[in-house]
Formats: sequence, structure tokens, C-alpha cells
Amino acid sequence: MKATETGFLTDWGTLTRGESGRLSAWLEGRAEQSRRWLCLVTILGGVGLYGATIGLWHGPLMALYVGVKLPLIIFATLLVNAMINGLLAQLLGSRLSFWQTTESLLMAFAVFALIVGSLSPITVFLVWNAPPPASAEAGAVHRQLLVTHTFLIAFAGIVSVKQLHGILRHFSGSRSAAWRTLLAWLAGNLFAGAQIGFLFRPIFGTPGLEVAFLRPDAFDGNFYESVWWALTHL
Amino acid sequence: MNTASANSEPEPADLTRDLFEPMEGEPTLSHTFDTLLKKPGSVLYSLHHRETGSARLLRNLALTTIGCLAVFGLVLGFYSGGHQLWAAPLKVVIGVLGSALITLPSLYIFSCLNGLDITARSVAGVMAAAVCLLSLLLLGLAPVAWIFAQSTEQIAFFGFLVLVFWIVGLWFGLGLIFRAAGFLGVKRRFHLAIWAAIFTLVTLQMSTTLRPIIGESDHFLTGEKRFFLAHWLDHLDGDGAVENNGWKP
Repeated sequence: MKATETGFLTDWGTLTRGESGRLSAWLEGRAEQSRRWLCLVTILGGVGLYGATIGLWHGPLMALYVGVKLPLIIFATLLVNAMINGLLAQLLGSRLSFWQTTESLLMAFAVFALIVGSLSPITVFLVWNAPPPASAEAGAVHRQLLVTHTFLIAFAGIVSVKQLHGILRHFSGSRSAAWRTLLAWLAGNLFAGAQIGFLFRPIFGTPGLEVAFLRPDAFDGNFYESVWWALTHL
Repeated sequence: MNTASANSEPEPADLTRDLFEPMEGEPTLSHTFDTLLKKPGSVLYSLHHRETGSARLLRNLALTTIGCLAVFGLVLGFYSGGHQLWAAPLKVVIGVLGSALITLPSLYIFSCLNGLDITARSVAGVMAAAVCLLSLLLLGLAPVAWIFAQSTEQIAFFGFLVLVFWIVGLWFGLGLIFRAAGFLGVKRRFHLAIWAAIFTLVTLQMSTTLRPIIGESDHFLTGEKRFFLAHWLDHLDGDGAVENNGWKP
């Protein structure tokens, strides 16, 4: 039996189920109306809500900052990678145009937003149970929250991009071309997304440092240098 | 071993158990939990297809859940007595219903990720049935818990026992959610398995958030925030005595 919900709930269901027939119709302009705005609003709402729960550990101001910054990171990643994703899509045989590639990734990020947004009540509960940043255990709690959110974001990111497999198969007609394109998009988005997130720090907020929208040294260094530094100073 | 019978037709009990078909008879309170135990597929069918009486069915599931959890909580309260006789049942009911509520949005999204064409209302119905089954099992285990509550002094042992009972209940409750997914045609259940792990962690953390549930207490809640693993490790190290006295003003 088919579900009988209407409106945005039906569209959210279509996105999260990765229904290749309907999603392809959206991309080909065969649908009654574009779902671009739905995807944009879903990203703003879902990712914003989840971002707020990340910042909540440091208080309402940080919750507001991260709630604004996280959707910005998503949109910046989409913008920065638009060119290379479109090129890769055509090079790897997906047969998607530049615009269709961007719209596909917008859909994937909307699924990402739905996953992390639906997990927000749980992450609020997690923060509610965490000792505050001023406590003696703040360092350990910060690391635990970092690991938890990194796992959730990575999970949601991988699952959401994977939901595009049906669309890619529909357009390319080839399973291997669909997988190649998917992996190339995933790698590109993770590579650029990590650095864009680094520029927008603080996201998780190191205990002891002041709450701020951006660090004064935002453009000093990069994510990969920091990881290397952390690995060599373990 | 009779291999012929093992490989041929399933047992009659299995045939009646796994049918996804309309519920027979009126959804009275006793008939609801009777069907939930014997033919859970019928309960899931009625909730998914919004059959006549499904609202009554939902109400019965909710009433059964609250009743069973309250009785199980009361048994936990007997371990310490005093205020815990009313506080423990209240905390068990709040804890389980709270866990179900905060994980409901993710159950809906993860069900869709698994390819389920299901409404939010149906997901809420499946969740209600699963929590009800879990609660019924806890009620069934309550007499055993009561015997241990009367004879055990080690809080770590009693806590471990309650944890085992909780896991037994979870196994069957979450199993009902997987069965619902199977009825609706889902074969790969990876995302639901992830959700089940999250739900389990939330309920375990809830038991720490609402502590003390089985220890003595002068206050309803402790003000100290802790993760459940850190809390359990303290008890295993013999540092749990402070917890028994509850919140310090």
C-alpha cells in the first residue's frame, strides 16, 4: 500500500527513499513544479537545527552561530564544488548537465538535512546530559561530542549521497558510471567541505576559548595541516 | 532429526504469527495485548492501514504501555522503598516514553531511507506497538525482578539484572519494528539497524539522566550530568555510594 501523505511530507519521503523515477522527473523538468525551493528550505531548517544542537553545549549564542554557519558551509561547499562536480559528472559518463548535477547534489544535501534534523532531538538530549564546558571533564566531553557529531555527519553525508545512485543509473544507464560519479562527488565534497568547515570554525568550540562567530585567524592554516599537526603531537 | 519436516512446511504457529492481515474482533484492551503477543502482524496491519478502531487500538497500546511500565517501575522501587515507590514508576514511564518521543523523527526518516513507503502516523503506530510489546515483556519479568529486589543488597548486581531484562524487552520490541519493515517489503534493513542502536543508547542514557531509579534518594533527580558509561564504571569501581544519596542541595 502507498503512503497517503501530501505536500512536503510526500516530497521528503521521495527524497529519503531515493525514488529514482520521481527524482529524475524533477531533474528533467517533467514535474509539475521545481523542488529547488523545498530542498533549500529543508537544508536551512534541518542543518540549521542540527547546527544549533552542536553549539548548544556552549550556550544559546553559540547555538545561534552554529545554526547559521552549518547551512552556510553546505551552500559554500555546493558552490565551490559546482564546477568540478559538473565536469566529473560528464567525464565519468553520468550524462547529467551542470545544472542537473547541482540540483542532484542539492537533493542529496536535503536528504542530509532530513537525517541530521531528525537526529536533533537526540543530540539535544546528548548535550543536556553533558557536563558543562566550565567543568573539570570539559576536555573529555568535548572530544566525545566531537567524535559523536563527526560520526553522525559522516554517516548522514555518505547515506545522502548514496541515495543519488538511482538517479545516476537512470541517466547514465550504467551501474559502474553511476558508482564512479558518486564516489567522485563524495570525495570532492568531503575534501572541500572539511576545509570550508575549518574556515567557519568554531563549530564544536574548544572549552576555554571565547564564543565567536568566526576565529580572528580563520584563514591561517587549513584542515589537513591541523590533522597532520594533531597526528604528530598525539 | 526429521529433516523432511524441518525443510518442508512451516509449523502452524509460525503461519498464524507472521500474517500481515486485519485484526479479528473488537480492539478491546485485553484483545489488543493478546493480539500483540500472538499475531503482532494484525496489530501492525490495523495501524498501517488505519482500519476502523485504529485510534482505539493506539489508545489501548498507550494505556497498556503506561500500566506495564508503572508496575515494572514499582518493582524497581521496592529495591529501595520510601519515595522510590512512587518516583521509580514515574521515572520508568517518563524515561521510556521520552526516549520513544525523541527518537520518533529519526525512525520516520530512517524508515524512508530503507525504502519504506510509510506515513508519519504509521511510524508512530509501529513505535507504539513496539514500546507496548517491550513493556509487556518487562511486566512479565517483574515478578522475577521483585524476588531479586527483596533479596539483593548489591546495587551493581541488581542494576545489571535490570539491564539484562531491559535488553530482553528491547530485543522483542525492536524486533517488531524490523518485522513491520519486513511486512512492508523491505529486505535490507541497514538504516533501521543503525536507528535501533541509537534508540538503545538513548534509553540507556535516559536511565542515567533520571537516576537514581533503583538507589535510595532524598530527591527526585540528581543535578550531576554524566554519560551512562562513566556512571556505570563508577558503580563497578565501588564509587557509586554517593549516587544512592541522590542530589545534594
